[in-house]
Amino acid sequence: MRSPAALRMTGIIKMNKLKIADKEFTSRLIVGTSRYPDPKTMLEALDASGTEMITVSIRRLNMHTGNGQESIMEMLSKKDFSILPNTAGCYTAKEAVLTAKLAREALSTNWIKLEVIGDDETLFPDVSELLKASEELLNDGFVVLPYCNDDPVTCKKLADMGCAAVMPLGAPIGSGMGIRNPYNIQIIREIIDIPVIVDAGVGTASDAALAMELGVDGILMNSAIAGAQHPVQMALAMKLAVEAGRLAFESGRIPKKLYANASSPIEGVIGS
Amino acid sequence: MKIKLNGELKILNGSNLLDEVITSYLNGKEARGIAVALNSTIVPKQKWNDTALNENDEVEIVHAVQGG
Repeated sequence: MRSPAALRMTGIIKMNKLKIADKEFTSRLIVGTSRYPDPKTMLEALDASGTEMITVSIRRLNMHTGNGQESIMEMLSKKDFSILPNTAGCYTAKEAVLTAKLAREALSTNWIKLEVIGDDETLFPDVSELLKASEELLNDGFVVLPYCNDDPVTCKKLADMGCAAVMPLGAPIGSGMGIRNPYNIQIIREIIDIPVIVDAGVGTASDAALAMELGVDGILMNSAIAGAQHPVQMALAMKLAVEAGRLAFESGRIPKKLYANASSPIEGVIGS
Repeated sequence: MKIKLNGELKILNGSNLLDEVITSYLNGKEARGIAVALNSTIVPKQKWNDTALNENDEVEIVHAVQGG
């Protein structure tokens, strides 16, 4: 009997890779680096999650130490993650575009997780500003991954514009409410050809598995791992859930039916 | 000369070269992984030493921090 790992090695079990722009990823989980109890836990959680791409923010360099905004790149010095800077905290296209350009300069990457927030209580995106910023950044040669509503029309527009992926929310950022509109996520997956990454809303492993079973290409999460009582353990749970969901999706599930369909043979039942 | 540096008012008594203002702000820290904007326009590192600041200029010095 061969182990699952051995079956993978032989190619009997084979999960497709995630391709975004010109990069290929084995892991379909993108992980945020914020709000961990301490840097050591963050690094252990990132390792346990198996992620290959992590998000960071761009903030003013404050020389007063202990303000909680130390350089993440120094914490990561020995790790080999792809870095995806975000424009978190931006409320206009203008701010987001400038932040993206600062990120490109500071980190030597033209990848950007584009966030343009429209409301500070829900942190829902401002769609018109988001479209404006996307267009501007695409014209300037950025690889744009926009955080957007679970709205198929907006996602289609972003895809048509040339974004590298669309990242609809499952639920508000940090809410842990899961995938509140799985039907929309499924429609988005069906109508566009670029990767769909569920960004925000995941609370626990089953949320991640559900999203992956809907056929999305990956999940970006932060709070669900960083805020768990045991972040490192939750990071592993998320890795397994994302893999399980993806494998189930690629395996082609059985159709749902209202009535039973016996799985054991009918013939040869005693007393018949 | 008055400028705004990361949102705070700063009086420049000496040089008004961007390069020197950044060096003094960093206070010995290496200028790696940082980016600078002058009045909302990026100034690439190689241009820091030929960029002179003017009265009321706004300079932002940023770096990457933990984020989601």
